[in-house]
Amino acid sequence: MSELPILPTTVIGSYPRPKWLREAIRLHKAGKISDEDLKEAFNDAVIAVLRDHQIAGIDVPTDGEIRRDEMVEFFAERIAGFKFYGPVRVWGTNYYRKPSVVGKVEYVKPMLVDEFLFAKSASYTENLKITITGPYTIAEWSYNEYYKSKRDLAFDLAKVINTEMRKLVEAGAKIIQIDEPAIHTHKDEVEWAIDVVNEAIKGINVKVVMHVCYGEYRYLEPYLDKLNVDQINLALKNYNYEPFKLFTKWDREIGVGVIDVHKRRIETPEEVANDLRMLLNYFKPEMVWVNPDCGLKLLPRKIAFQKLYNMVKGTQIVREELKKKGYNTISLKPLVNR
Amino acid sequence: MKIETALIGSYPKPVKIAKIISKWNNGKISEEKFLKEIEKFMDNFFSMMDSFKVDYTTDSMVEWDDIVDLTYSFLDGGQKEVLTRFFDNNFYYRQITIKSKLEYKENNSYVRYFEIARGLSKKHKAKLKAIILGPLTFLKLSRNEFYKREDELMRDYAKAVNILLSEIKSDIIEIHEPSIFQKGIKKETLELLPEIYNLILSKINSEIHLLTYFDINFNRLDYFFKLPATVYGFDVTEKNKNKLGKLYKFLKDKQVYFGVLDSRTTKIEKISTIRRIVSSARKSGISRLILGNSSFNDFIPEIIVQKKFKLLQKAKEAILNE
Repeated sequence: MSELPILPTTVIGSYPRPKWLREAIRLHKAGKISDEDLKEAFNDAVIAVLRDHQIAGIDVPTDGEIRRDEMVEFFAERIAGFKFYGPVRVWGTNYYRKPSVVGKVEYVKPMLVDEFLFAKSASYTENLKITITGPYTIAEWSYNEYYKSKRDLAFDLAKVINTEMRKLVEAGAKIIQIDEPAIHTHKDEVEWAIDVVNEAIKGINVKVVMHVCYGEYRYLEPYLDKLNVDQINLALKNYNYEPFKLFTKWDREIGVGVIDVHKRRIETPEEVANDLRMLLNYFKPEMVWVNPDCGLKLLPRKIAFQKLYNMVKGTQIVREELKKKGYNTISLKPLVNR
Repeated sequence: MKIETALIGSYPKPVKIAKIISKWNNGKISEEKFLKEIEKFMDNFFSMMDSFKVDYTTDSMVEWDDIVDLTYSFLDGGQKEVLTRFFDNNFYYRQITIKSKLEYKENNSYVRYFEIARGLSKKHKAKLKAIILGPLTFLKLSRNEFYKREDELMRDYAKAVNILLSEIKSDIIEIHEPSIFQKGIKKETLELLPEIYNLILSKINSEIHLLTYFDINFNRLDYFFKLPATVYGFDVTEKNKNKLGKLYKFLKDKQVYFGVLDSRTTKIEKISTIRRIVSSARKSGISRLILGNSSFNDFIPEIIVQKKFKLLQKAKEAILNE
């Protein structure tokens, strides 16, 4: 199994699309460039994103989810049973095409394997992370016109996501992040939502991370022990770290969000280092990964890059301090047998 | 029993308008062009409401991100900060952090936009409502870093809202108070609410539509009905459908708003269901019933909102022809 430096740095997933890619997408929609040309533009963009991650010094990069317009929409377009009526607003002037479930959801064909294989071929490190939206979040962020309950829908989606995760493992994925930003939306659903996640990751014996952000973390806290992931990563900086104490009993890995992705102010390396020192008073160093709060795609690319760069620089300051105490590397080995 | 229809809260903001707003926020278009587009949108929106024969409407809230953004426009003492989930929806607002005493902001954009909406609405049939965030819900959606006591915060908020209402002189005011049914509200806070509402509505002689949504808590109904309102509003979709039978018992002789169009699903309601609700409402002794959407229309695509209001129009016609 591969090793990573102590306090591995990673991204949550998305990264700003380069301007030229946005233009290529626009031209493709207008019928002015071919599917082949768009595919080439996406591939080139993945290379550009990975290069940004490499220069910033990220230990575990992603391909920036550059081919995905939105985290639920992308999967709903590829799973049978969904229909789209139009965009809905999430906040401010940000929209997504919230899908409606109008039939039984079923796996059709691989959704991420090609994307993963290309990123793997272009990556500067074998420690590449691939992200997949979790079944509870897809269910919660869709309209249910078909199933008797959201629970029934979510469990069917778990089967679909599990099939895809198995295909990713076959393709060589070593770190898979299941994104469940909606898992703590309804207090009375969290317990079964965790069962849904466990169903989706059953038999996936590579490093499995779950991403959670923005919301009532306290709803999640009572059920953490039931969760079969190796790591949870969280948005914390946005909340000035207040919720981290809910997770101090969590004995597996924790990815700490030290970069606020909703503000353009760039955190300094010293600020990141100070925040990490504070967090290390509560978590074992070998259990801590460092990441932004969430995906970076809504930021201008220059700011996103600088935020990542400073995150790594700040982490390196603390990493050197930890090395003096004998901490050097961590293993990628899964902590849970699923 | 008088039956009317209404649109409450917002109408989905089309992406085209959102792009114009973004350009305005980033200083890329002039104020004149921005206002022209907003006015054009509002005018078309009022025409659409007329086409659905809606009796009461808001201005669509096109100029605001959300109800907290709208509230921020006339308040001093707060700062928009953390992006926060709006109840249990996949919809987020910037939470107001209260840093100093809450006061009414002079020359605010709320008044300016309301004047535009009122001017445009005059040539349309639907009556315009001014939107206000209820004091309890304001308290729950804000972050308090200034006040030692919640009652002081709500009193200052109430005073600011009262000045606003005195200035705009709207015939109808739509107050959003979903937090009255929210878990974890202290008894003393609930008991204080009538006094706070009296401050808000002091010397205001408007018709008040007091709205709740997402939940109905029977233990709080007494508190709710103690608040000075003309029309009391309930979301009767989702799990609340099962509470309707019990709810009717509390509504005799009351003027009521029922959110029968589920603002959180693309599934279209059935006319027969709406007719059944109206029939039961009639039997329960409700004196006036307004029907409309259950909460903000931002949560569903525009095309679905239009389909739902078209259906409501048909349902109303069917009911009136019975």
